[in-house]
Amino acid sequence: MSIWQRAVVEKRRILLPLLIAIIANVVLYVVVVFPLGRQVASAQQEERAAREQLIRARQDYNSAKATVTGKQQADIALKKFYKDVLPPDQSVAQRLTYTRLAQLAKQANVRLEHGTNEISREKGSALSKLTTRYTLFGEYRDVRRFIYSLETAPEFLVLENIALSSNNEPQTRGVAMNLDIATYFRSGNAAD
Amino acid sequence: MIRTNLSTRPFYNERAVHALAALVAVAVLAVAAWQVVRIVSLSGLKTDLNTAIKKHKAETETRQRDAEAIRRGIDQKELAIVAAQAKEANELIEQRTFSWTQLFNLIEATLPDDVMLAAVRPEFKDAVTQINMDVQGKSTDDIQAFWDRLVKTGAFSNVLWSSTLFTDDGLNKMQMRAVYTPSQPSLQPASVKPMPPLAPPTLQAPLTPPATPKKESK
Repeated sequence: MSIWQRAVVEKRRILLPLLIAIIANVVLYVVVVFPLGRQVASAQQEERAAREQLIRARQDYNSAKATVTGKQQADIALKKFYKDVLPPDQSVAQRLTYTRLAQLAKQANVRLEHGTNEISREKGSALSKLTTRYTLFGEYRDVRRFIYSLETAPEFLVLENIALSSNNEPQTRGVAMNLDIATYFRSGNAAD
Repeated sequence: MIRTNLSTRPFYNERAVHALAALVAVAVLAVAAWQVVRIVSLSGLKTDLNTAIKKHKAETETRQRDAEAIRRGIDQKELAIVAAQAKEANELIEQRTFSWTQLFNLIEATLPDDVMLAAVRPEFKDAVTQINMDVQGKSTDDIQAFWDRLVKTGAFSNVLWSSTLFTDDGLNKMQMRAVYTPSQPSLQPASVKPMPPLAPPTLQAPLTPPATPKKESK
């Protein structure tokens, strides 16, 4: 019997409980701690997935709510836009492009020489468009003043196009220009 | 003095064995304690996670149900009409708030003496403003100079030409097109208010007080 074997045999009252404790620790780890760790890791993953799903569901809910709120706000703003900003009908729109533009031209010291009207409507739109093409004549700086007063006027007048008129005579002072000015008015439902 | 060990069972260092056993015992106790702490903490964590999972799933179901209920209450056809009307209104507001004065100030500052602007027409699409210009110059160099100066302002980009014509009297006429991004906010009449946002599409319009035009040089 070697010296080690003798020591183990002689000290077995101490070493045996130690060995049992070591085995118990290993068993505890293998049976409880390790599987529990795996279960927690899996639960963490599941919790993360559930949280992400919840975030998406919240976003979806907020988006649905925002759609309703946005629609209500857009409805109110559109009604205000149609009622307060745009001319109510064709007659008012035509007066706008006739009387109002004549006033602005007079104030800016330019001469409106010729004007034509055209009414069009985009498919699916509730708005009709009145486009007035004017030929005006004046000094360049007065034309600029007219354009400025047009773009700062409270009425809904859209300057769409500016072109030098072909009637420009080299010897005359000032410029002749063609201006396309549009305004819009409500003429029916979009579904019409 | 007899130095020979007459014992048939030689001595070993009992103290060392005891010390080693004590050391192992301490290590085993430490590991056991760690395992107990770990079991307690992992159990607590597992309970918390399971509670959180249940809570998340319950809230997810509630939110999904509520969102469904909200969507069921929305008339999709009506929503599409409002969205289209809002888009149209925003495009009109964008056209209305376009500052011709600012554009002319920029063009005047860049136009060479021998180049004349014959026509200008802005186009508005998807929040991008494109300026179509008909210009005529005495030479291609003059138009090229205008082109270079336009780009240098920083307000014009992607300048392209679509057609050019050399007339009998030596003039070069060109139709140009450029993306226009004014650096200053545009003028706006007080009557034009911005539309509130609707998702989707987004309604927006800048609102700035009217400004006085730059003093004209011509």
